[in-house]
Amino acid sequence: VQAAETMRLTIAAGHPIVFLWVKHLKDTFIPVLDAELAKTGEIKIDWSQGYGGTIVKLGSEVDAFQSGIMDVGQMMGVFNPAKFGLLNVTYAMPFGPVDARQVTKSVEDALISTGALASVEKATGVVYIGGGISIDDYNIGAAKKIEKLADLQGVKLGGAGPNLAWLRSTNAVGVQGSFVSFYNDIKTGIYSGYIGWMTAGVPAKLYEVAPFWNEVHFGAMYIGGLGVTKSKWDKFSDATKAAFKKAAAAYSEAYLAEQASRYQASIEAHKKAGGSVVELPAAERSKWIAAMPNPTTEWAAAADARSEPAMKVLDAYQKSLASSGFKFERDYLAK
Amino acid sequence: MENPGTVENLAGVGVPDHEPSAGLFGRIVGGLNALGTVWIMILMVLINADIIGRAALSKPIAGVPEIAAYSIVGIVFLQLAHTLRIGSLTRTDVLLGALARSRPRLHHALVGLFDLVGATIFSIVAWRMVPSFLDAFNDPAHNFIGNPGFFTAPKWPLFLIVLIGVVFTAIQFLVGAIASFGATSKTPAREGT
Amino acid sequence: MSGIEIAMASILAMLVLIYAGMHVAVALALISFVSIGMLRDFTIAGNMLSLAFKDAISDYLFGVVPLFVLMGLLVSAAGIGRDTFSVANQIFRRITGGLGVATVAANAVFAAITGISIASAAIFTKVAVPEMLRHGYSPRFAVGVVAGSSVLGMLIPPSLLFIIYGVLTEQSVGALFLAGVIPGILLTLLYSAAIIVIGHLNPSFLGDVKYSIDDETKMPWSEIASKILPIVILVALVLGGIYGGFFTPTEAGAAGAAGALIIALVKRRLTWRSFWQVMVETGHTTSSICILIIGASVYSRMLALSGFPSMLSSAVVESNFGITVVLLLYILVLLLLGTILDSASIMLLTLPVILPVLIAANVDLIWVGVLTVLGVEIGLLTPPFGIAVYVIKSTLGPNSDISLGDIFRGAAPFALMMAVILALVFVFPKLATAFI
Ligand code: NA
Ligand code: NA
Repeated sequence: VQAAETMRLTIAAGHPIVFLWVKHLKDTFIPVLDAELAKTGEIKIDWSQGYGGTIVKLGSEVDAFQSGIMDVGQMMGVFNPAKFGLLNVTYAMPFGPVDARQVTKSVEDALISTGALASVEKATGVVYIGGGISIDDYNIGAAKKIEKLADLQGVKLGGAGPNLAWLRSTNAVGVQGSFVSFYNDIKTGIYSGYIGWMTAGVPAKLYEVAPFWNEVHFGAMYIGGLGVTKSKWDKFSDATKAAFKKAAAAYSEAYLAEQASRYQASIEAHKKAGGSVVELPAAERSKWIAAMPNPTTEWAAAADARSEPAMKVLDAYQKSLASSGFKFERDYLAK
Repeated sequence: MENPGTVENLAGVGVPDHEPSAGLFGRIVGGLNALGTVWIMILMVLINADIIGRAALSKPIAGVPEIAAYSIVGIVFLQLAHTLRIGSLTRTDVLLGALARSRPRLHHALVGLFDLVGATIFSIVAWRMVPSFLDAFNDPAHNFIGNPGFFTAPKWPLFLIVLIGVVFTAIQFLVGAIASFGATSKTPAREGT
Repeated sequence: MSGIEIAMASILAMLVLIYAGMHVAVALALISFVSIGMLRDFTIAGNMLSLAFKDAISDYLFGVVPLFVLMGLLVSAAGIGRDTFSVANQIFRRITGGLGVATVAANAVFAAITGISIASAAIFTKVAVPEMLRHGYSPRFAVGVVAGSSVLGMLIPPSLLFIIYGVLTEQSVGALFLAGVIPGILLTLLYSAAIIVIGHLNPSFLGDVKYSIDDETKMPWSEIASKILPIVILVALVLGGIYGGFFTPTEAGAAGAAGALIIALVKRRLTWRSFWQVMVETGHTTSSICILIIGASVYSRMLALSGFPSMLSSAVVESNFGITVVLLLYILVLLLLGTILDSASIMLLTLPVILPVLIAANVDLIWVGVLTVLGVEIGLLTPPFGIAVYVIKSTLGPNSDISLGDIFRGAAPFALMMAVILALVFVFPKLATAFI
């Protein structure tokens, strides 16, 4: 084995390391990649790591990729909707599967088979190398039970913009907020619940202010995967590229596995702390789904404006899910 | 403006806004500053409207956090050149103040040098900002804030404002540098010589 | 040069350039540009600079900075501050340093309104400093009190720093807020006691204060009531708005500014001309503060890229000392980084490294949260980069006689007292965890 050439790469994230998708950059992606690269001995990476916005601010990832500030990082649609909006396909199709693994696989299938990733790569100069992940089932944590649609009447709920769009046919009032503000805002009464997911709500101890975990099952949401700047990627040998993809796959697997185990632990912690889980009856949920203005409309229009194959992705995603046994209650592609 | 003869003014650090050479450039800088001032008022009204809409009418205004984040950048860069012009940009005066008294010529030279550094740094920022402005202007579909279906606004107007603010600040630094270097030739090297 | 060497050189360069009188924001940007150029290349350095100019302050939290500044200026321009402090002066006339104590107490109350110390520093520079000067307090003491008590803004809930700490360590924000209460009150009491004691032992430290109020100038109760009513209404409006669930501490800036504006109009204390002047000054103060924050942000990104802060934290973690020593070293690192970095950056850079050790040693993370916030907040007051001090300087405006050095020196005794409270909380963890 010849002496390895050392390459300096910067990996950065806007979220701090307590978020699982950042934790496994450090704990899984980098170690697996280093080990894979050591096998061929071709190159060795000298990493600069900066998480929690210490090098790149949340939302500035694409700028940072494009200007050479970072070389490896996450491609997340939710925080970069203008550049990676196509990756937000599941946010445009709520009430999908609750299984994060199933969602991840189907989204990646759809993005690859339709050539969507190629158009994102062309527009941004960032190469998607796999490592797709999805957040566990979105639901409503609140100070009150939601057992029927009428219970949402006038209830103010905090959430991010794309999640609040799901409330449009209900009589709930969407208020912009994030996991940073939920606790305080619910405590003082700005709003009385939030749209979010279990494995983030429990660490933030949101059961203290929103003890009812109302399972409306918006579904698991795909948030993105890993990217490498194209100018760097194109210089890699095939063996190096394979090592990156293998590490990305390991990252995805480690994330999904830990999230699944945390999900169970979180549900138990939520209940142990006096919280309860409330299921919205299927008939009420169906009414909600039927009444929604089609949530894909604006998402698809924005993607069209970027010349991205939005409808093809929707169709491929729906079909991929169907082949794994999930059927949406509503055909979002119907006009 | 009253001039109480502060250490800063003794040090000649600030360029007073009634400087006769104000001219067209000075009026533009003042105009940008006024725009920023009006923007602050609008922001105050907007946030209060959101509060009232949400608390009293259950109708919050979509995108206020994004608009506030967008606004502060616009406000700061509209007003930065004027802030520099009136000498409000923070600096220490320990050394400059002492030099102003003992070595006036060296003092002017140092102030001029620092202004020149400021002009250089702001020019670098402007130069690196042009590509992102052009990209945002030519391709607004890839350059907006917010989320489709909820609230969106194009980024290019903000980038344009930042670019203008940075360029005018660079020029203001240059104006200061020229004034300071000009003053060195009219100043004795030491107090009393 | 290695990353660590570049980081060390950058700290030295910062000291020299700031002391020499280069604009602080320019110095920070220049040093960061050169350092990033050496760490990577100068194209990337230029890109990082330009990106930070666009994104560093692009945040709702910074969006309300001008509104907090505006609230302070309106309170001052409408004479509400002057009225309030003349009442305070009469009430506290038998106490040495009465207005100093009043400023500390007012800051403690205001801390329940704001989550950021920048707001406290800006408002009280406008409201309290001129009044203390008018009553004969020395400039250095007046700004020192304001700088020192501005830290209460992030110690007494609500607090941005506790929220960031809560996110980084997965601790309950509610519990952290409660934990800040006793140390916040203790610090308020310590400041007040120190002002009174020092005023007795060495009255000249406070300035040439005029305490005596003869019967002619003494206000009757009716006048006291009418003078103090506006501020009571304003505080009640903002406090009630936050704790009644009408608006968030972030939005309180807008609500407070609107409230102050209405009061000023009702009292007919504002002409179009003075209103425009207030607005213009608000803008200047804001851009002066924000360009500093942008400079500080580039600098902290450069430092993160150099690997220096994580090297420091890792050295503490790998020192193999007992957990008590590790904690002490951690606090030392906070204080050291506090001289050059802003509070949030310090926590983001150090906590992820130290946290696993703390969890392994089963240390109470709420207690560590209070130690951390106190530790990084001391940095608000220490040179060369102390944001509270810079905010005060920016708010004083270009025509003020008070220099940055005066403010740093005036704030120093208060930084020392914070260290005392930090030590107390370290020795008696109950001070943080009693309510939890
Ligand atoms: Na506070
Ligand atoms: Na400091």
